Amino acid sequence: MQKLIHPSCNIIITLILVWGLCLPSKAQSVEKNNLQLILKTKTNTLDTHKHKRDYIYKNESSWLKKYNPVSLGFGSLLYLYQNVISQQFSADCLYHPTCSDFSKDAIREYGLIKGIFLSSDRICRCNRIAATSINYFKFDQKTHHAHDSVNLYRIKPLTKTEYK
Amino acid sequence: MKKIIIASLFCLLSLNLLAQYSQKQRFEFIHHLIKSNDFDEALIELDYLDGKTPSDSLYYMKGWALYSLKQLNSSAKSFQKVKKESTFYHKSQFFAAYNYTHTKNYKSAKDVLKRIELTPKLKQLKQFEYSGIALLERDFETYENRRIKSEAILPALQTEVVNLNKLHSTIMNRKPKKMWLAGLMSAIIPGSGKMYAGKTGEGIASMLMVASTGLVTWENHRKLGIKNFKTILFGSIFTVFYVGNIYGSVFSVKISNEEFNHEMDQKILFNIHIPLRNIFN
Repeated sequence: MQKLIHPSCNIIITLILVWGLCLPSKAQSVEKNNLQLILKTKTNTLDTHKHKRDYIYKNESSWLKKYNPVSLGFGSLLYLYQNVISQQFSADCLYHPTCSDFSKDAIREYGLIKGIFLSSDRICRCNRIAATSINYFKFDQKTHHAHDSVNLYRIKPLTKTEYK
Repeated sequence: MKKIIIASLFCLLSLNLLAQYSQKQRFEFIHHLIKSNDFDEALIELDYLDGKTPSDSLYYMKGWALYSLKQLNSSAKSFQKVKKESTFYHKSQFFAAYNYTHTKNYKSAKDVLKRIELTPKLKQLKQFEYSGIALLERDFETYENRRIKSEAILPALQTEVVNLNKLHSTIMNRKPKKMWLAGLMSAIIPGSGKMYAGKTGEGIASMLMVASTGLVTWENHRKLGIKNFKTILFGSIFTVFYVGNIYGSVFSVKISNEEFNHEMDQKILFNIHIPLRNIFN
């Protein structure tokens, strides 16, 4: 009888051990399913895909505009800020397009000098104090950012053929 | 032989009944979809029936579904197909005119209103819609001629007539701000031009930024002299923000004027829309 009990105890113990080893993997699979469910909802905080932003003069045809030292200097700083430094911040811009994209668009549209002045004005406006002056019609219902495109900063409005 | 003839007649009749019954059922289903706000699905069903049965109910329901989906031009075209004999005629035509007004196609809106055959009850509504369009076009003379002045106003229009008159006086009394004045004010006191444009928060933010960079530059200039690298650096930053503040003030007036006009247009559209929902729903 004792001889029979001893092997059966061994079997029971091994079964318990095997069951115990399976538990963490089960928990992991449940957790994985939960994570997949959360990722499916595609909230901003879990958006792990980092969007790489282009160099300002990437599609520029003029060689002078593309390779002169001033353009290269400003373009590189902007590229470095957008793709390296900006990724480390948790704060979000009040506006759409963001301030760096706005300065890119402004420099492309109006040239370097006017673009820099418009960008400095935009930086002065991108804070909580200035946000009190934003018109409520400008806010996007989904993204909660205010629309502030470069096209608003023309003296003469665009005609239908010029509008991009 | 008799049995075969009777059987074939019976088959033909039942097929005919089936087709009619299925069309009726389809209309009821479309009506149910519209009531449940499933407008995309309703449009699929309506598009299926479109070429097959020219029906006023079909054009009306299609117009309503497109209007709910904010496809206003298509909605207006569908509404205009509804004939005079239909019970939905007046509602369709007025909503077609409103849809054209909303998409700034004022000429088409006025054409639609002109062609509507009216009952005495709806004459005031037509006059009210005309006055709203005149106000949107900023044609104040036409607005004065078209607006409802009598004391016997339809109950559905009373509040909106008063609101439209208030909006008219607001637009008339507002003096458009001047861009050059905002630029000049910002050149003297940074941020004041933006406050003049109505953007107080932006003005304060600009003032703080320019003042802080200016103070840092002055401090460096006082301690280290003008030829020092720090003075030049902070001086450049101060210049960029100072000129940017003047530039921004000039454009803030333009944006402020545009925002005011947009807000007034939205309010006018809201006020000419409400009576249509009150009278026809």
